[in-house]
Amino acid sequence: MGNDKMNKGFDGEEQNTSSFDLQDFEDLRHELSSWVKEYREQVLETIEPSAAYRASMHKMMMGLVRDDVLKAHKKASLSTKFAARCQRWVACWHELVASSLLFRLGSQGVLALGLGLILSMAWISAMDEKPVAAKSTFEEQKSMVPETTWKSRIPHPDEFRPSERDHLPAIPSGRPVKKVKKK
Amino acid sequence: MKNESKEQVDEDVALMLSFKRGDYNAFAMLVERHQQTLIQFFYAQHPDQQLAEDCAQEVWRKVFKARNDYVARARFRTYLFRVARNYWIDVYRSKAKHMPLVSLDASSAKLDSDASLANLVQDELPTPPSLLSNEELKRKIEWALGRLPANQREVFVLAELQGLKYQDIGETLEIPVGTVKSRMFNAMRRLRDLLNKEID
Repeated sequence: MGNDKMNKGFDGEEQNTSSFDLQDFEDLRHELSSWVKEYREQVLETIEPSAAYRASMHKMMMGLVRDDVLKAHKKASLSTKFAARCQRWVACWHELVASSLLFRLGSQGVLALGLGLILSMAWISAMDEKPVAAKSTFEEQKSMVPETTWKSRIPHPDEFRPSERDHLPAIPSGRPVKKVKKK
Repeated sequence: MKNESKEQVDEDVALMLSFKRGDYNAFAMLVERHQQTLIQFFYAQHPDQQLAEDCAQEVWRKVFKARNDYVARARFRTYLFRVARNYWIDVYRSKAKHMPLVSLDASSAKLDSDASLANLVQDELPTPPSLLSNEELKRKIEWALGRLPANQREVFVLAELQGLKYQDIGETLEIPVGTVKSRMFNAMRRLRDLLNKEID
């Protein structure tokens, strides 16, 4: 094979490529330079992202950011929920231990243990119904979304209102007239 | 000029790291800076602006999704082109049968079997403005680029049309610099022969 090297293309095809010297390399570069320069300046550099591309990018980025924020929020909410649940179970355990101590103290302890268990279960079920510490208010969600450059391009809803208002049908005044059935 | 470009390079990496920490504005700035280059890269691979824009958008989506894995080991452009190149390979493989321009086997086989082509065309390549209109120039170069083997074309595009250094191309394609030069040489030789043949 001598000086030949083997190159692989995307599809794994093999090609023989012979060795070269630096002078040939520079000569070739020089020879092609005017073509490349012309092509770069007259074709490539004139390619601007189209309006459709920009709109599509804007939409995609908004979607990605929204998914990101919601995902982070959900994760935070889940971990808070989990922590709160653990706390409740620890408290419940303490209550049970206290109840068993009571049980050792006397025969009335059985009653106290039962009472303690019932109270614990009732307390847990009551806590489950309450909203967990992580409140997902609208303001909190809004503060998590940073002011992105593309977000500022979204027209404010007020911009749409006048034209919409113009096209709304007039609201009829007074009560609707009942149809009188003919006898 | 060199300092400026270095600042720009550092700024790109800083923006990407900032984006990794959750600054979406940094991502928007990176998009603004590099989207045209990315579209040009794909366009040079296959002259279809619609496809180039679709590919560029998909690359940005990948960069967005993979930001947590980003490590500032190289320039941002090198990283971006690596993602772009890997995506292009996927597109290339899935669409190879339907793309008339990308005819790897045909062009390679033809040129390899026709080993004397380089010897037959010995005349120097004339300068384009003396012979061709812009439209003709565009058509001929795109035709010739489309007939280069994919691995040579990507090296040529990155080096000559995107202005990357051989070192950076090596990092982007994960090949040694020697291989980059070898592919570049073969690409230029084939391009010269094809253009000469087309003019004749």
